[in-house]
Amino acid sequence: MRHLEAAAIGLVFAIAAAYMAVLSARQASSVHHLGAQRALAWALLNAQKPENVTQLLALALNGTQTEVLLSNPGEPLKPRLPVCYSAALVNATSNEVKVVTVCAGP
Amino acid sequence: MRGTLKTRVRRKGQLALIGVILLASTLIALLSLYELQPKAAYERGHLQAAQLVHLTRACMASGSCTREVLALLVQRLYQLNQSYPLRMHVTYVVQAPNPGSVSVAGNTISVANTTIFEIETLQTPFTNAYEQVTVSVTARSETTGRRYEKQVGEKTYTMVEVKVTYTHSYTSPFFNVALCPALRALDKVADLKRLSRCEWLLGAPLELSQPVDISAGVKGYRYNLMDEFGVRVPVLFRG
Repeated sequence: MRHLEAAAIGLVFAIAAAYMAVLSARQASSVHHLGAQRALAWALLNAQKPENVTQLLALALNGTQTEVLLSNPGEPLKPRLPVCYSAALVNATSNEVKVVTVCAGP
Repeated sequence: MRGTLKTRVRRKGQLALIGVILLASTLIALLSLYELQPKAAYERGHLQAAQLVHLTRACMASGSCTREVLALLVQRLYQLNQSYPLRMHVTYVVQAPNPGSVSVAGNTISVANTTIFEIETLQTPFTNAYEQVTVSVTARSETTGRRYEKQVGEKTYTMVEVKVTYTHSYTSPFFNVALCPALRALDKVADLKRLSRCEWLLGAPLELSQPVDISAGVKGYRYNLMDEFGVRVPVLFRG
């Protein structure tokens, strides 16, 4: 009987721990994309040229599961991750525009 | 007799405990099978304000940045917003950096270019008020009184030493940022040295400076530097 009790308690602990782990992983990913948005804003404030913005962005997002895409206007966006934020990098002198996109997700 | 009753009660208690544990584990197991559908609530604010700061600097770098030019650039953002997740919301250009303002106080001359946008934030529907994003670029110059000669090639220039304080200030409901962008000279004659974060010591060649009317009755010179964002920085000083 005691073995049965111990097994039942162990089972409850195992299931609860697994559930908590899944829940916290999902929670973390939902918070994560807010960081991506702010990282893009920070990079935009500190740099002007596309290559400098993407460099700063990569620095800010280092070690996190995100992707950074640099595209020309009109090019279709094909991100792997679902939650994306874009910014237009404008060169008003040459009238050239590049779009930098950062995507995050679970 | 007493021992048997005690044992029966204990067994019933143990069975009840097992029942509770099994029920709890079943509930938790069922809950863990329930697939959560994460809903992304897009954050709003930082990126739009930073985008407008970027746009203002780009507009200033192009030369003359009037309200019309800036409004056209904002229109471009709206267009791009249709195909890319820029998450732009209603934006009005209230004030453009040009023509800017010049103020003279003793030996110090300040040139300020302020841009003001009004944007719709999450607060707007409740307060009926738009919030402001302000970009302020200030160049303050003060002659030290020192002049010296500099030989470049076969030509000799008269250099006027000017202390320059150059700052960018960005304010919005989401951030307040002050930057001291790096400066560079547009020719190989000027002497430029960084003194502290925002302070620079400039040796401006008088022959390459443009004579200007600084304000009513005040004549002086204008020498242009360029910041790291490509914005021309006017340094005004009295000759």
